[in-house]
Amino acid sequence: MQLKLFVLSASSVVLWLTPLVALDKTLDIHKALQGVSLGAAIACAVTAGNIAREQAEQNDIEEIKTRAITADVVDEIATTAYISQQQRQQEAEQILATDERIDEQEVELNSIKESLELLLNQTNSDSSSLAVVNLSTRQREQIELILQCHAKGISGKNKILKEVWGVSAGSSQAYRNAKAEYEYLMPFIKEEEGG
Amino acid sequence: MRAMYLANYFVAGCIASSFLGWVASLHPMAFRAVLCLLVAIAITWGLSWLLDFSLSKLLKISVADL
Repeated sequence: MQLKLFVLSASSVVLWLTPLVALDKTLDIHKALQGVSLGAAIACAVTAGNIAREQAEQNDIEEIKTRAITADVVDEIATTAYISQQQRQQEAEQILATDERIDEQEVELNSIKESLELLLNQTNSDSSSLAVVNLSTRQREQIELILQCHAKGISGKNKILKEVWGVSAGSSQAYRNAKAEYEYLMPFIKEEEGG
Repeated sequence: MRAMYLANYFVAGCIASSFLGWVASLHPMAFRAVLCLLVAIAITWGLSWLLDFSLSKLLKISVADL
C-alpha cells in the first residue's frame, strides 16, 4: 500500500510539472496533452491523499489499540501487585494473631503454674494429715496398738516390736522389716499423741 | 503518514490551480471566466475571514470545531 502511495505521489508531481516545462503551448496537441496530464495529476494526487489518510486513520487505531493493551497490562500488573500486597497483609495479620494466641497460652500456662505451686505449698503444709489419710488399714491398726502399748507404759522399741509385730530383737529379716515400719510410723504416732 | 496525506492534498490543490491556468489559456473568454471565478473565490474567502464570528452565529456552528 505504501509503494502504491509513493508511486501515485511521484506520478502526480511528474504529470503536473513535466508537461508544463517540456511541451510547447502553441501546438494544439501539446496543449491537449498538458490538460490531460494535469487532470491525471489531480487524480493521482487525490488518490494518494485518500490512501495516506486511510493509513493515518489505521495508524491512529493501532496506536489506540496499543495504548489499550498497555493500559490493560498495567492494570493487570497493578491488580496483581495489589492482591499480593493484600496476601502479605493477611499473612502478617495471621502471624500477629498467632503471636497473640501464644501470649494468651503463656499467660494461661503461668496461671496454671502458679495454681500448681500454690497447691504444692498447701500439700506440703498438710503433708502429715494427707499421709495419715494415705496410710493402710493395717498401718492404722499398728498405730492403734502402739498407742495402746504407750498407754500401758510399754515404751521400749524392742518391746513394742514384740507386742505389735511379734518379732524378737535380732538380725532376722522380719525384725528388720518391722523396725523399718515402726520407724516409718513414728512421726504419725507422735502426732497422734501430740494432737 | 499524516504529513503525506496533507502534502498530497496540497499538491492536488496546486495542480488544480495549474489546471485552471491551463483552462484560462485556452480562450480569452475562458480566461475571463477563470478570472471571475478566482475573484469570486477571493471575495468569498475575504468575507468569511472578516465575518467568521457573525457567520458562525448565523449558521449555528462553532469556530473552534472548524
